[in-house]
Amino acid sequence: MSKAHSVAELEELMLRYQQADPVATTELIRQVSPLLLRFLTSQCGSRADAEDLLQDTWLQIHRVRHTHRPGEPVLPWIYAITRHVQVDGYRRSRRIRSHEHLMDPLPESFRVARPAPVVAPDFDTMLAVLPPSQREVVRLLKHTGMSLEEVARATGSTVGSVKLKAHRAYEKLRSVLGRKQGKGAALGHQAQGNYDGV
Amino acid sequence: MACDDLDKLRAESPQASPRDWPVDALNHLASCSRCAQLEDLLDSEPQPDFPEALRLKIENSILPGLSPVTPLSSVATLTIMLLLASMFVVIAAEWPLGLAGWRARNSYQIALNLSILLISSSMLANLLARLISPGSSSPVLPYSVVPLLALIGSNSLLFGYQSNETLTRQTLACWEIGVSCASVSVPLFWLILRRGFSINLVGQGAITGLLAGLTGVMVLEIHCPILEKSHIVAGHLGAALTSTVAGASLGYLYATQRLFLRKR
Repeated sequence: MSKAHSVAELEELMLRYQQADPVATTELIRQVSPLLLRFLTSQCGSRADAEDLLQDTWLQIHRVRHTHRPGEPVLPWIYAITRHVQVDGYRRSRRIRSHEHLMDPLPESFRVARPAPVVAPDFDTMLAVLPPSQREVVRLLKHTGMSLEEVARATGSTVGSVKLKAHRAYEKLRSVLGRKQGKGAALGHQAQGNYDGV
Repeated sequence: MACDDLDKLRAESPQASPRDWPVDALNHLASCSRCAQLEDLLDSEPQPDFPEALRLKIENSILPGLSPVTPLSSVATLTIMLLLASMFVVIAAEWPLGLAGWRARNSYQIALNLSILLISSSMLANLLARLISPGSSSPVLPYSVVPLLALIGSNSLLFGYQSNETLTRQTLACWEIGVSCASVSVPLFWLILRRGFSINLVGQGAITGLLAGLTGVMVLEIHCPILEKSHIVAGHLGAALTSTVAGASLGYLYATQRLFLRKR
């Protein structure tokens, strides 16, 4: 689903989902799932965990689909449930981890040495430098098309707090970009020096 | 315009594209490579990389169990039902307890305290009706603190100290009545809210407890003729505070229990 999704269309799909229309349900899943998967991946860091959480999220959405009131925005409702499932998942895995015993690490010889890929930082890579709450706000604002008020509803906070988190996130991203640029320039100078030496 | 001003502009209007920005901002964007890079980054569209197999899995888990559902009642309807339940408990409790407190107070004291209680109860009932639908919540903390502070403030202004040997016993008796009324209110509130789904169980527990506690305070305001500041704060408002803490604790216990059960 693109940023320019229609709010009215989503509300219509949600209404028909509540009335058990399979076509609307399929369409809703098709439109919303990619957004949720990206959100969950950026929040929990692992694609496999995010896919599991996405399935849990849809089961939860299905279980409580009657709690969406017609006329209310759909995306904040969906994202609030997604956050809830994600937080539950995090707490559950923390509990499980607390009962697990750490094993010795694998011997060095079994590790496959892979060179780190050199790629330009994309949105997800850059977002990883932010604290989870700021990352969440930037992703919701920039990739779901939700307004400040809707993001506040989805995250259970105030519009002022959302603005503050977004502002801090932009500041941090800008400083990280500046550092990367500085490093790039330094590397460029170094390379130039090497060539000069040759 | 500086980089920070541009960040503020982005934060204030996240959906606006650079085309909608003032000339100052555009000039800055043209001259600052970091801001331009950030703008490109924020504007980049995500790649559609959603696995088809996962979509089918989700559909297969949902479509077989598809059945029509009735959406939750409106916020206004639930608010009115909660207030009616509260009033029902007040009337049912006053029937055997009597109206001695109402007679002992002057009209100014009755008007101020009951106004605060009614306004607080309406606000809390409205918040509860919203809390049971995800994505429509508000921050819970101010709602749980403001009514209690307002009542402590008004009672401190309205009443004075009167030393009395039996005050502690009387205060405990009032506290018991308040907590009992709150305990009777909670099942009624649960009946009204049972179809909802709260993602903030501690907050919902606290607000439900406070609304139930304020029902108890209302009963005591009408029943109790002891117009003593410390008695009212400890015995009447103490009951509301107790039920708020109990509600929040129950919410917390339920949330952790749910996680534990799901893990198993």
